Amino acid sequence: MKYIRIVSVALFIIIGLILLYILNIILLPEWVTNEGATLSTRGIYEEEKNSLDVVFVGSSNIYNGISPLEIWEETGIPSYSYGSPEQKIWLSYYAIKEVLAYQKPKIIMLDVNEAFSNDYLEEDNIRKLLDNMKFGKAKLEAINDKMLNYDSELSYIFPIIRYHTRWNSLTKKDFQRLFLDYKSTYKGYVLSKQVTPFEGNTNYLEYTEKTDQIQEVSKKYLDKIVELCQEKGTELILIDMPSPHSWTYPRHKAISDYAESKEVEFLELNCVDEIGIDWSKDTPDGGWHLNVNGASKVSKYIAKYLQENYNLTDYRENPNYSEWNNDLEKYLKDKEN
Amino acid sequence: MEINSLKFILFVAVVIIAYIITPKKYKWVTLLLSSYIFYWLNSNQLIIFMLITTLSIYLLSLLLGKIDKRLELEIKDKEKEEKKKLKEKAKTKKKLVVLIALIINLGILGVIKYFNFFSGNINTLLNLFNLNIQIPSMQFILPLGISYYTLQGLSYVIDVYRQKIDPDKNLGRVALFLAFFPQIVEGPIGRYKELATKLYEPHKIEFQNIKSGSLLVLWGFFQKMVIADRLAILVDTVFGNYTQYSGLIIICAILFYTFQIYADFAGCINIVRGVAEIFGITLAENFKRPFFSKSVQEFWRRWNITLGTWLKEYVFYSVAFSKWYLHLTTKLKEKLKKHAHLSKTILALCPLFFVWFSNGLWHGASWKYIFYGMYYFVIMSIGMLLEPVFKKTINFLKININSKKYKIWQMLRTFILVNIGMLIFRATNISSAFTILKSMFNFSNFGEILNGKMLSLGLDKGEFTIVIISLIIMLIVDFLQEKNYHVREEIGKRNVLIRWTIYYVGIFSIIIFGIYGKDYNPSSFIYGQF
Amino acid sequence: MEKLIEILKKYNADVDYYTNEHLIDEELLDSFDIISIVADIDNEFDVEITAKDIIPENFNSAEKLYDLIKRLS
Repeated sequence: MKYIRIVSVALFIIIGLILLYILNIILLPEWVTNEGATLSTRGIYEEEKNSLDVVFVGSSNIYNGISPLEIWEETGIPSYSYGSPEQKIWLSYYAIKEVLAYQKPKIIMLDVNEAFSNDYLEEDNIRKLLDNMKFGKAKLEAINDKMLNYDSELSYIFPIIRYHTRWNSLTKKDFQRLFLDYKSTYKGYVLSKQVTPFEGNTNYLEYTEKTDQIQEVSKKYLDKIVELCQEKGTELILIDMPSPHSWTYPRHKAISDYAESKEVEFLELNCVDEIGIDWSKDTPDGGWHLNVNGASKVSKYIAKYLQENYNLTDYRENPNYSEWNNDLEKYLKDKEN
Repeated sequence: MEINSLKFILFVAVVIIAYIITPKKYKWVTLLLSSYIFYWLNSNQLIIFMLITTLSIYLLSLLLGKIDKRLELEIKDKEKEEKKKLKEKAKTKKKLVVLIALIINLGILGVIKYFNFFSGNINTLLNLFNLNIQIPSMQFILPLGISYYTLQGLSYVIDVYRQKIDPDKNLGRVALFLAFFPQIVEGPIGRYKELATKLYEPHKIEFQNIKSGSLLVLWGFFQKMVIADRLAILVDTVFGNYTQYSGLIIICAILFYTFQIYADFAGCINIVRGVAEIFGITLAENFKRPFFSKSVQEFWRRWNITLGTWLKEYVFYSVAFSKWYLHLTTKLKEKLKKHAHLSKTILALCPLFFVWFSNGLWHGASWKYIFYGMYYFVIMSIGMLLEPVFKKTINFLKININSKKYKIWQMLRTFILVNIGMLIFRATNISSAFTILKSMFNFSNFGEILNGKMLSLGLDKGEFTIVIISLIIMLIVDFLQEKNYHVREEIGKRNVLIRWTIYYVGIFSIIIFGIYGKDYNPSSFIYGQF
Repeated sequence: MEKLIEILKKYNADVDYYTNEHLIDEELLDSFDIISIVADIDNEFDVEITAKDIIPENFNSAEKLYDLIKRLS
């Protein structure tokens, strides 16, 4: 008799959790699951475990600016752009942790542009990463981090607590979400063809004697990231995506010095002639991000850099990666049209 | 720690586990300790006041017992005359002891809760006499449940005084009686005879009780979080800016407030009773479908029942059966020999006045609440005085008082009177209550309402739908219970599919439709601020 | 005993006080009646009924009430 009771209670709880899980999905807002960022943060789970050799981590500059399929086209190196809007360094720490839970990349490239700003992150930008993260060690740690100081921890474990009021505005899309396929055909990259020229100073990396400091909290988490990558045997490369609005020589110098002190590579992507960014054609929004033209240039440059400096495998003939070739076809078609 | 929160559920779960693993002999200690921890988490060092109350009623009751025992020994083998003298002496001593208990405990309550009220009134008087002294107002934080446990403690002392129960030598039992955490926030106010032993005895936590109690807790959460807090949105909007509204909107707000305070208070009581039930303890009912009352008197036998009972036992009876009052009774009856009804009524009204004054004042430290009590006193007085007139009218119009129609008329009439009472209760003060009442009859904004102004008060169409549906659900549940249909029992009898569906619907409707989270502001229990 | 029933009849004449044992439970006498009844009893029988005696056990039947009176005299 007692066993029946225990079993029925357990069953009740399990069914309840399943229902909760389903309701969680239905009540998520569109902006969490259907925007550029979330295609990036959700799609990574659809990749085969341990199939990525390089992962790019950072803010919207990453998923707007690096197109892994371009790298694939040039070198057959499988990579992924894993980013969320305005991702501060502390959040990147957890993003990297999560990546390392599902993948064993040889290289992680981290965009350090946000290392100089304050640490206030809007709730929705946090949620665009965390609400799309699977439940696991990285997520739990992120939720309990002091940097996350709005809303209860519980609302990050059960987002339904945050979004339950959406019952009043449900649409068909919310129910279709139950059957959505989150595979990111472009490997986290969000393709944009818009053009809005940047009309400021394009020579923004001119030498000056001024200096800049990496923000204190960002430095703390940068150290943690360095340690983490060392621990897991992944090479960390710091990069800075072309950002004419915020990058300066002092900042370049600060990162450069930091990288040296930590014996870590720093790949500067700003004002690099070889990349050849044309600010009148390569940005969709006046210099804040790159469009497909800019992304293509940056990606090809990174592909060359990887080929020249690292011994990474070319998987183009590998049957396990045949899907990648199909994806590349789709990408190229989309790019042309 | 709010009672309608996950934290509270977790707390209860921990206490349940602790209770199960504690050996029988010490199970009551687990309850007492958890209660003190709960109190500390809510009121920190203010727990000292509850401890003072506990000690005072414990020691003073023992003293009463001693006086009685001594009297027994002293009057042995004494003459009738001397016996009477000794009895009188003992009685005086006992009265003194009770007075001390009253002074200590009502004193604490009076200062903490009513200081600003009293000082404010004294200041007004001083101003009238152009005296420049002003008593400053103080900021006292109310210890949790002080209005409830004070009454509960005093009922113990008075019951000992009246020799209805023996004084308890067990300090732990007395402490637990006062501190038991489910009832400390908003009652129900328990009686020592019924409650103390039950709390103290070890109980086996039965699976059936966990199921049944949890269902009651679930219902309470539903009432509070889906119904009460949702209604509050509209109510707060209208009452917060009442000069902007009139007519139907005011009526709607008052109506909603009546339901809100019911769902809020009854919901809390249900959570509390459900938790107690899990521990195998039955707490007194505090609500019995009050809106089915056919008279205002009946309403107060169905609403906040334990408060009404307390006031009857310890205010009404204390006044009505005190020596001086019985003298008055006899004198009055002689004078009004021919008017039995009148004399009976007047005799009832005097203690009744004290009851309603106390009821009003207990609810809050302001003239508005006293007015609230007096409102009901006046209605009842008029009702009682005019009883023969009503009877004649009914006979004249040949109305059948047993017909359904008449009963519905009575319920409707009572409901309207109750709503006006709730208006007084909710309004900021007496004058705004009157303003709102007047604006109720102003229907000039009818056009606006047709244009959807009702949906601009904080609740849109979807929210309104939930309001209506959830109110209907509550009405059905209450109606079934009124017809003696035991809802939880009947649910328990159904098959697994139906039972589990009801459980899941209940749980998820609270999760989905509950008013909580960043998009709403949290609201504490209304009656918890007393 | 007859005297007592006479008194009770004044408040509710329709009750058979010899047999009914639920005067309070069935609300045949209400709290207000009881005040007056107590005054009458106190006067008639020269006793002193106080608040502690006001329990259903004492008032639910005429017989129990009479027992109370006897105890107090």
